[in-house]
Amino acid sequence: MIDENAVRKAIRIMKESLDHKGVLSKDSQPEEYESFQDNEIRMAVSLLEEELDLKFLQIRDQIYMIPSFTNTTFGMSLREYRENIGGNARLETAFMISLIQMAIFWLFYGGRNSSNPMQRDFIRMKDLIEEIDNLFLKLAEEKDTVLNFDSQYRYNFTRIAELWKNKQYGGEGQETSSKTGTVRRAVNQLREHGLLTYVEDEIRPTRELTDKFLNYYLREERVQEIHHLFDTMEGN
Amino acid sequence: MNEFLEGMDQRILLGYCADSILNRKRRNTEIEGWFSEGMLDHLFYDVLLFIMEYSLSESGGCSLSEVSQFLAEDLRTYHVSLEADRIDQLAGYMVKDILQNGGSILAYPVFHHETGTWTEMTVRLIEDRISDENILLYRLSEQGYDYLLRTKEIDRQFEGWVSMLITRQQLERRNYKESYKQARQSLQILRKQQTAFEEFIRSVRRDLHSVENSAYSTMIVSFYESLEEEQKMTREIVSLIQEYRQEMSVQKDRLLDENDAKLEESLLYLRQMAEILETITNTENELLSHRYSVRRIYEEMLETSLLSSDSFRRYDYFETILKPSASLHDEQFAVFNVLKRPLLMPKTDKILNLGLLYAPQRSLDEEDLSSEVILSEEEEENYRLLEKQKRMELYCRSFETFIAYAESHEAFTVKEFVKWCDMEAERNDTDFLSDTKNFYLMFLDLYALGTIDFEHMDISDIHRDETAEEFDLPQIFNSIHMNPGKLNIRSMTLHAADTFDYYSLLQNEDNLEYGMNGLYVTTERKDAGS
Repeated sequence: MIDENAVRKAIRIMKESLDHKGVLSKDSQPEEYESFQDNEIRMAVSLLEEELDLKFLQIRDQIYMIPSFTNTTFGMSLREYRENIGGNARLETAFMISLIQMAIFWLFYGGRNSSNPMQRDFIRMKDLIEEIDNLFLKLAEEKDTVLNFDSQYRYNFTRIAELWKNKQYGGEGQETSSKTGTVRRAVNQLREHGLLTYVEDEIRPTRELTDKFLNYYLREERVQEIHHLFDTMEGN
Repeated sequence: MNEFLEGMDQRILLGYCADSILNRKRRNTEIEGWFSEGMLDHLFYDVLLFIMEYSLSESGGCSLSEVSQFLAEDLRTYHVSLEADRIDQLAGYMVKDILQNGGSILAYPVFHHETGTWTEMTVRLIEDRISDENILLYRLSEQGYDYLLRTKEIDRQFEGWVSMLITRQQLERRNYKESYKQARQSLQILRKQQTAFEEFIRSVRRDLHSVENSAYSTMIVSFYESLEEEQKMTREIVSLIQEYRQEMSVQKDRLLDENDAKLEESLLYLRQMAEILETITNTENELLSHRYSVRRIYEEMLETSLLSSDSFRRYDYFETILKPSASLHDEQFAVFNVLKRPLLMPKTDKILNLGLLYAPQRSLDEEDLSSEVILSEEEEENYRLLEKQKRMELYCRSFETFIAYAESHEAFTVKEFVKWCDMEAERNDTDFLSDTKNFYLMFLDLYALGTIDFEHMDISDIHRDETAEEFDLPQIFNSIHMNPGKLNIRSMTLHAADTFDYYSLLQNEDNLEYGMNGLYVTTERKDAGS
């Protein structure tokens, strides 16, 4: 039986995490950070983790609250997600932006060295666009991905790649008619979530993104969940 | 293995350091063309030395604009004149494209004779950090120091305490100029050690498994032992300098007005040396004060990694995520939301309002009003008016589009209409037309009207009111300056084939298509009847 006090402290950890964008740090929330080190409180936390479908991950002096893929309590609904990407963006634009974001993660953490797959410190906007150009070509060449275009769907990757190809470089803002504007929109959503910085035209991952990616996201345990996710979609 | 081959990997790595500069991979032919052969090679070393010089200061690095300023000055010594924007371009090219390899890790294959294996070793001569003012500052990496120091000095001077020993010996021989130069060298070596120390901490933090145990003992044991030795020597030198300065001041006082240039010069060197020694002392103290924190961090990390000692294998991101992502089609868009869920901030900004449950229409509001901003009554009223105006405008635009389509189609499904809108939106590159939510609201109202008689609709009494709350057809006709009687449509009926849901649910996610698929429109056209 877990002590009431431990449960109370576990709930407190949960609340503080929610109030601080999902991150607790030793310096800013010393009390909760200390509680987290306690075995009994940790047990109470693990109950919360189970019931709320999330995980608390401690990397050095920070504790991240990570909703699992299937979490619908703290994850956004599809509508919120789309709005979060960029208000009135068309669905295919939102699709493209999402794909670009997945590509950005790959450009940072897609290295061949599995003990440290980080392959760059930063990337400049023009290089990023070039990398996306190449990636889209590469993906289009991959045999498995080329689908027979099915008219019942409004678009698929082939269409997205074509739309991307037809966009121009340049532009100052976030207009999705240009490649730069589209990428900027992709970067901005991730910036707002504290995952990237964009200084002097260089895009860098934050400590939070690197921590989450290397210690949680890329771990082999995720593979089954991800396969399952794509399989369910295929059956759709 | 032949003994003489020992340590060959380090030698070849130094060769690759030179290669990264001299055979630079990301050559920009335009910029390269501004200089005669070999000149840019020299400039690269000048810039590296400038960055090293800068790291002697307390600022912790130089910005790109400071590199530009230096280049402007440096280019004059080569008798080259470039416009300011070209110099900026040059600085960016040298620092970001070449010395930082455009942000990508630059690795070379290196063979280790001791183990008979090949590994990839990284060349990174400079590193950067973002300052509090959001400016990128550059400084030499440990390897950068290593490379620059090795290309000039001999190995034995590398050890900090050896360099300090030489400084002291020269000072004792009263060779002020040389001992001053050696003190600067000592500071550079110390800075290199400081960088090595910071890099070590970073790599411990990033991935403990990449840090070999030997690296830890080198850092914690040998480094600190020699640092303590060095600190002893620093103290001795500081007191020697004090002694000599006092001595010379007395001498100077004795000379009264006579000016002894040699004495002045010596005093100047001693003063500069005292400044350098002060920086050295501070840096040594700082490094020593971190001694135990390094041990603690290392132990903490070791513990964390033991706690999660289950395999740390990582999957292939490209094969597992990117490739399958490219086989998705529009209806599977939700996958991205799910894939990014663990990375994005947990959603916490919504406040559950029970009232929403009993007022289904509220969820269709254009804006989420549950924000924490508290408005005064008047502000709120204005805000509402604005909202209504916005909604009315959207209604009008949607209706205008719809009626134009209906005029040329006798019977169609709403789905067909939405598809057409999408194509139009794409052609005109506007987002408005594919705003299905707005359409949904409009069709909901039109459906409620049943059959709409355009021919006998009276709009004469309507005053233009853009803030009307309800969807009111005569009102809308008025707003878009259109006479329903003049349309090609006599009347229109909306039928629902099956349930006309708010959302159709798919994969437990609210589908983006509002429930309009089962809705049909038939029109009675004037030209059809005649």
